[in-house]
Amino acid sequence: MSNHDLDWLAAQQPQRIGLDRAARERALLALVQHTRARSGERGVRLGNLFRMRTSGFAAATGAVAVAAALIAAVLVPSTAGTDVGRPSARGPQAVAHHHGAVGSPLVRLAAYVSASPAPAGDATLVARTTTTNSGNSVTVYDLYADNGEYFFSPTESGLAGQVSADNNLAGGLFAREIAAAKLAATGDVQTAAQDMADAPDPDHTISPTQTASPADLAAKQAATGIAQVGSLYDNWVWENSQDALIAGSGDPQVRAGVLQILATLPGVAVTNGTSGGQPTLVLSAGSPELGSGYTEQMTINADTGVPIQFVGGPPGGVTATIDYTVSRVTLANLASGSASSD
Amino acid sequence: MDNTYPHSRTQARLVLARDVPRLVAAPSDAELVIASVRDPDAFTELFERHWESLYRFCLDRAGAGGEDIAAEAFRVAFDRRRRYDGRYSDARPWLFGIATNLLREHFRTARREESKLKRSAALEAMPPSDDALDGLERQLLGPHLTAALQGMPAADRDALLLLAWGDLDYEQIAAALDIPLGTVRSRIYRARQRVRAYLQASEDQ
Repeated sequence: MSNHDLDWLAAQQPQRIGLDRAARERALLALVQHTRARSGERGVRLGNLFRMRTSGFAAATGAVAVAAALIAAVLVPSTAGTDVGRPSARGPQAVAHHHGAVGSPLVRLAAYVSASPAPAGDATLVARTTTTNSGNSVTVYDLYADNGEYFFSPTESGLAGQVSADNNLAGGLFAREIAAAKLAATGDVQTAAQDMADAPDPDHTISPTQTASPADLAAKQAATGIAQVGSLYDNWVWENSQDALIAGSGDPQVRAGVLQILATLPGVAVTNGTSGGQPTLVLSAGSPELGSGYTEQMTINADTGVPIQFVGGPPGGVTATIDYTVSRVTLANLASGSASSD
Repeated sequence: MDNTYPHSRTQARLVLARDVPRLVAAPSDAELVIASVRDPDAFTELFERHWESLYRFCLDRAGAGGEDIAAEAFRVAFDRRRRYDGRYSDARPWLFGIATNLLREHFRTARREESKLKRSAALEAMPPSDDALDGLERQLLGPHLTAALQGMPAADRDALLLLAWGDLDYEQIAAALDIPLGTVRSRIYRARQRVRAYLQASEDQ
């Protein structure tokens, strides 16, 4: 096909003389105002927070022991500080080496976890420790309240102030992911998986598409030089499920629902392991979820489904490791602990 | 180091876990978008890079209304930056895709208004269709382009104009419209056949 039609179309393009600098300035101003307003909606300026927290971490490391002692006193009322990572009785002891399917170890574990009693407290505290290849590590603290609020602090002792100041950073973050997980726990797993895929932007549905074959992915990667994700839908279900698993780690219904959803993914492999004396399941995403140039693994307690560790990086390598320690606390005790320490 | 920030949605974690290099003298578009998740000001650099081409494209398609549409496209892009696929270093397809959706909505709104007026005047009760060129779009395109593009599905028209006026290639159009490459090829093939038929008919007259 000759290009005379395209040449004709190009010739029909309206001719504009110069660029309207005033229009550019108007648009740039509107964008800057918008970015600041949107950042303000979350109650934070992310850039500023990042810088502040980085320096805050350096200042706080010397006080870790003191802070840990203080927060331990704050966090352990009768209903708080419950370590949800360790079961009181042996779990289903899933024998696993399995790709996602009905009847997988994840489904069996989900059934076991969903029968767990309601957790104590009204919030889940997650200590999140990131370790890089160079050996540096940092621990920060996420507090997910059952009512949807979310508090963050680079130090455990700082959480009390965040709660008492009502510095809620959630803005709806993870609410839809957790709702999808809870829906899965009640049985409608396919609908829940779709909700999980769409959770970050429910106005735009991600269709479950046919997964490309490994050969197609490899060929496209060779042609483009970039790792290919087999399925956008699978990718988002996998990633959003991890967010739900972490944010809802204190709630057995959320954990059970996430496990049900992850069991529907075609590339997720499950293997047995141990970590710190705990029996574990290691969930590895496959090429449908992440393509061929990148891998992720989520390690969970084999009896409770509580997340223990996330590892990501190129095949055969690790870029970052994140360890999670999950416990249940009560917000009121946190806030009053802050008041008493003033 | 990474992770000294609140738990944010996955897309950022996915990309951060890939150890995207820190910003250097010439960061890619992807690096800017990723950086903007934590530092919204980084997004203004993306604006500086692509405002002119996006503005011209929107102006070509929507006339004076194109300025607002191009500006809105950057605001929408900012709101969706966590969903940006960091494997694509060039953000133009992403931005042009957002702009194309906004243009479609712009013309759809104009069509509704036009339809309302027509109905109120009891002149016509045809339901508005995305594929029809409304009065505003016809006016912007002029008689020749209108004749060439009339009757063409809106999706085909969008793909063709992204190629001819947006300077995107087939793969970039596929990314922009979030459709398979084969669909782009077939849409553009159909659209070009219509344009060629119009040109042929014009020559024959």
